[in-house]
Amino acid sequence: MIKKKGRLRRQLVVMGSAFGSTGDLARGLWKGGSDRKLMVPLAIFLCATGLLLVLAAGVEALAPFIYSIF
Amino acid sequence: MKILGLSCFYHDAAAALLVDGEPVAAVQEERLSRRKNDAAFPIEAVEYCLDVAGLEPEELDAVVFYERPMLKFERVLTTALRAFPQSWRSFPHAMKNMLGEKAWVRGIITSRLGVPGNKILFTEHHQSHAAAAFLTAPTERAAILTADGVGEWATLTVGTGTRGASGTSIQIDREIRFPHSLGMLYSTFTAYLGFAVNEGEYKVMGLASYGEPTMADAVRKLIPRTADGAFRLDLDYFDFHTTAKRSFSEKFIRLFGPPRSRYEPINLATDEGRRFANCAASVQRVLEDILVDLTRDLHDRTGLPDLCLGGGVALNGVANARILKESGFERLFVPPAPGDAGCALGAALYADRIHFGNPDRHFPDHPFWGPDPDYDALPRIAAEDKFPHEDLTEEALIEETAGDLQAGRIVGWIQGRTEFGPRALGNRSLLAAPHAAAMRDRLNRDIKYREEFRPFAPVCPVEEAARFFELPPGGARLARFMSGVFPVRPEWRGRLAAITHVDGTARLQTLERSFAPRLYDLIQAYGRRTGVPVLLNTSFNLAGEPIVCTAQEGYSTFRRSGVDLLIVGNTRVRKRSRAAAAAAQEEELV
Repeated sequence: MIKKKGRLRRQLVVMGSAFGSTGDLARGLWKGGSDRKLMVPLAIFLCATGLLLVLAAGVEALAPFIYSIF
Repeated sequence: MKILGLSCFYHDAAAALLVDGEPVAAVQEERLSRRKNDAAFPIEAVEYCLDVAGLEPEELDAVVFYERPMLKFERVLTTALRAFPQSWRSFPHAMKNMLGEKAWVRGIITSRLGVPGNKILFTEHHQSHAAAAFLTAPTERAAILTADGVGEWATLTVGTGTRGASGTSIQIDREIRFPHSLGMLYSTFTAYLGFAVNEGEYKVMGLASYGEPTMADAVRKLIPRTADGAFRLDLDYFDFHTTAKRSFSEKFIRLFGPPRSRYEPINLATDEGRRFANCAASVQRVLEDILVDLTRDLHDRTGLPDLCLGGGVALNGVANARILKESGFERLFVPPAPGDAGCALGAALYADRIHFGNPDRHFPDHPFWGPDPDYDALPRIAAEDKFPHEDLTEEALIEETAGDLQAGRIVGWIQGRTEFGPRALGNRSLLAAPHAAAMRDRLNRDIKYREEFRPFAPVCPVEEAARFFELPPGGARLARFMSGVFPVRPEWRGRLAAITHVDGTARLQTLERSFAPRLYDLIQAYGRRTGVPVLLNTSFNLAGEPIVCTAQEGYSTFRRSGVDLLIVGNTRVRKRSRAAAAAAQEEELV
């Protein structure tokens, strides 16, 4: 039987592991040649934005504040 | 070791479980969630797999995801930047799509299953396809070709696989990378012909038989061959790399004419209808030619007798039959689930045999890894519904059902564990007599509610197949999981009209008794009565619904459609005649 976790808890777990995944992506791009290296800042920015999306989806009360950032 | 394989977030989510190298369970999420092509995290499929083995998620040694999400994100990002500024409209959508959920698979698995991050592994998409094709096939050494729309970067790979006492290896030698993709070429024509991408490709294949490849040279302009024998796409004809809204460009429309609206039926009696059929025939011909060239080259380079084929392109049974006939390979193995759902099993096998280096094991040669029906459910529901039901002995069940089929009745057939993969191979099937074209039309009109050009498949005992179908060497094996399309012998086409496509072919399933004993006995009993041991076998579902899984779903489909009788295990429920139904209704009112 799989234990069901609350939505917020699930999203926090996802966020917690996202830094490692972003690091993997950045490392992969860094090793991929000079043109790929240029993409590292953009990739990190996009991942950070994505994490905000994940957080916004998990904590509905934060959504108006995140909306105002953009 | 207990290894769970997962595929999800694109199409056909699935889970598969290996315990000590042996498959225990594998099922597509759609069969349980009842949402066709469900791509969501396969939580119900995972629960089913763990239940079968009596495991808790924390007892798993590894959870393997079928591709590398961050490598995929890198591809999406790179492609969007390369196509800038044309891609500026689709860029936010693509990023939101990737970064909302798909990129964070490790965290999602941890959050849903409670499995720690260090137990979560990733294989590459085409490694999963290759493993699903090679490690499930009864061969120790084979060439491998995988082809689909796109994985991370690769769209087509070729290599070799070796297994046995000395260990298991899958060596990918060459690959073709996105955006150059056979799958994307075919999907682009699928969209152009007004069918849903990733769902309607088999309709293109069915439609192709009605046309002539008069536009094959035009299609070849889209996919010029390279000096090394591979191919590339001329991207001027495509838009899939710049926008998610349309996959073909204005230049494509200038070459082939206006696309078909999905709301307009294809009328093959009109010029426009024939143009679409010719278009389908042309892309089908070009796809086959390229695959035959690639596999012939692979055969020449490896000198191996066996080829394992994986990826969504391997669902193209017409191309598979040509590969078998023309590539030089003696045997061609296509798994029952060559698409992305099968990658769940492939990823688990890859991790077990190659990542962890566990010894090779025999893989059972059948697709029945899904849930068993609840055999008590049908009598219960039928009684609640005041529908007469009967429990029959084995012999009576076989003989009476053969009689019903001979009388032209359509039988819903649910036996044993459900199939893993898109085909109904005898455990969740609609069965009917294969003789009259009227039966095909009735099935299309009253039950499947689908286009008239779609063919139905036959199932035939393996030892009888060559009497009715022109099978090349290795054909019977390819037909085991309904993976090849073969000509019906001309002298039988008139008596097998319901399963003979317009071009005289059929997507045959050959059946050994050990594969599905009760179905085998039924076909033999039918053969004794009619002299033709062949049945029409189509998936037990209505249009737009997944194949039924439980007895309850089978009963629901039976009640909502023109199916005449339903058999679950040994229980039979029969539709009442109109007079009996009216009498029963009257009785209820009184």
